[in-house]
Amino acid sequence: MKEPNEDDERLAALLEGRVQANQREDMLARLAAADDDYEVFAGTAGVLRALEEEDARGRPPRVPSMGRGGWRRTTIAVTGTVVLLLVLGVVWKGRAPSLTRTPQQLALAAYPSAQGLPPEWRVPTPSNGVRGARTSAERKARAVYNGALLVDLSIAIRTRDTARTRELAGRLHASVDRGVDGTALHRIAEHPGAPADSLSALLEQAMAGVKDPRGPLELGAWLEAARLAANQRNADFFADGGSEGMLRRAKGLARDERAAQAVRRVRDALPAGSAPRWDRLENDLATLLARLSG
Amino acid sequence: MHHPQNPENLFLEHLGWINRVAEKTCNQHGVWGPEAEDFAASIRLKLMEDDYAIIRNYRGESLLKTYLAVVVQRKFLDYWRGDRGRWRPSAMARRLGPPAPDLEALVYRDGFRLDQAGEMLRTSGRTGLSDRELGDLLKELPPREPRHREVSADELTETTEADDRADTRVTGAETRALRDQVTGALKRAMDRLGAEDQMIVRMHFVDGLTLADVARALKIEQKPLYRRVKRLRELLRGTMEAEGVHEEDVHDLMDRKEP
Repeated sequence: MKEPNEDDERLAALLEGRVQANQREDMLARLAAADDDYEVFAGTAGVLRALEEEDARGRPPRVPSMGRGGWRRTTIAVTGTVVLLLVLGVVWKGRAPSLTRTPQQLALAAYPSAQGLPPEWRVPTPSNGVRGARTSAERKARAVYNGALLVDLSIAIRTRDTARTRELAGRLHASVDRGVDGTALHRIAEHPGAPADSLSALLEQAMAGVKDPRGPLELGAWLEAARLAANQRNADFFADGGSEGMLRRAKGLARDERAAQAVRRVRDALPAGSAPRWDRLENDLATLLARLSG
Repeated sequence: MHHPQNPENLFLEHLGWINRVAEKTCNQHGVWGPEAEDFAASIRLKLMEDDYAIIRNYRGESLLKTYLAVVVQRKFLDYWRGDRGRWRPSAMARRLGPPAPDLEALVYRDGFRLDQAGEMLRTSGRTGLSDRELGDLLKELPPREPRHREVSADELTETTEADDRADTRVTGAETRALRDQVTGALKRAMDRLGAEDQMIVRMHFVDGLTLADVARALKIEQKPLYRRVKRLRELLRGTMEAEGVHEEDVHDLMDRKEP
């Protein structure tokens, strides 16, 4: 191994924007033509970005506690939302391996606001009722819908939106595969004003038992989070390179030409190398979600 | 040196950061589990060597955390190349996102068969995709020569349709030739750009980094970057077409693959 030389600290200063303009120009010219230093520079930038995002996800808005009241804290030991999110990630991934983010993480990335879901927000509705998903295709469609609801419920819990929490937990309780821990969802619906930590712990408990097909469930969560990000003009959400993988998954789930067309429209609204087409992206995502969950 | 603090104390104070950076750096290059732990242990030893020489050499021109991140990244590249040779995920793999870079590394860098790579990715929690889905994903990646063991095209795609195999091999050879031609023209076109524009082109067009990442790395505003990239794209396209690179070839390199 070589010893670190002056370049390492100069590269660090460049990454922090601390290098003077004329020196910066020289360094960039050298980097553009170099292999090793370029890789170190670009690689470190990527690592720092990933760690920043990780920290940001680990610091969700603080939520007020109800203190003592009608609700008794559950027996689940929860030291804070930071730990909880980490645990949720482990549980989610541990049950069904995947690199995709949990609904909670997606919700936070797409919609970090502490103000609750947008007032005009329309929660997805399944076109064929809440029961009776018997075929494989129906189960997948229902899983897409449930994934979307998990994102909305996560936001409702985080932002202390009691009415939405009750409504969404009730709808999920009625919709998820029977393998789910229905008691946990039922308790959320019954006690929507409980401390956010406790509700999140219950949601974790519920998700750990979800038997819905994992791929469609994750896709539904991503589509709903993407719809929220589009509503908020949140370009960062779409800048992580994961959209393409999800759209490929959506393409694989499309059962008819209209659904395939909806995938193409979303893809067109997310052109590579330029800003999302905000004028249509939210509507296109809504259409795709409806096609895949109906 | 700049810092009055005991380097050992600085090391201990930053140990958590060093571990996180080491893990993230490994993951970024498709290295997980015991191998990533081995590297983290080696970087800790390296930082302690010669009475914390690396930390003592820190002059304070940047934050210590950023300096350490750069050191870890460079040490990783030395460490990994010493073992496996130079490897970088393709632009397409980066653009497609997880698990494409890991899949590409396991198949083309480490020489595992598709089913072996799939099993490793699933058991380590890095994907939930089936072998067939991974096979479809692999077809979207540019073909590369396996590093450690000879792996035939049949092995790479043995769980996919047999009819696709011959086509894949032919397409692979053509694609390699095309890529060499296009990248050669791109390099010459880049020589005409300013330093920052060259970096933008290399990071975004060649390596597939998002504009958010490019803006963050170069400490420039993201919003004007969209227009700038559009201008650069047109400029490069014009220059390359003037060199005889066909428009569709340019699209293959620069544009997202259409469904």
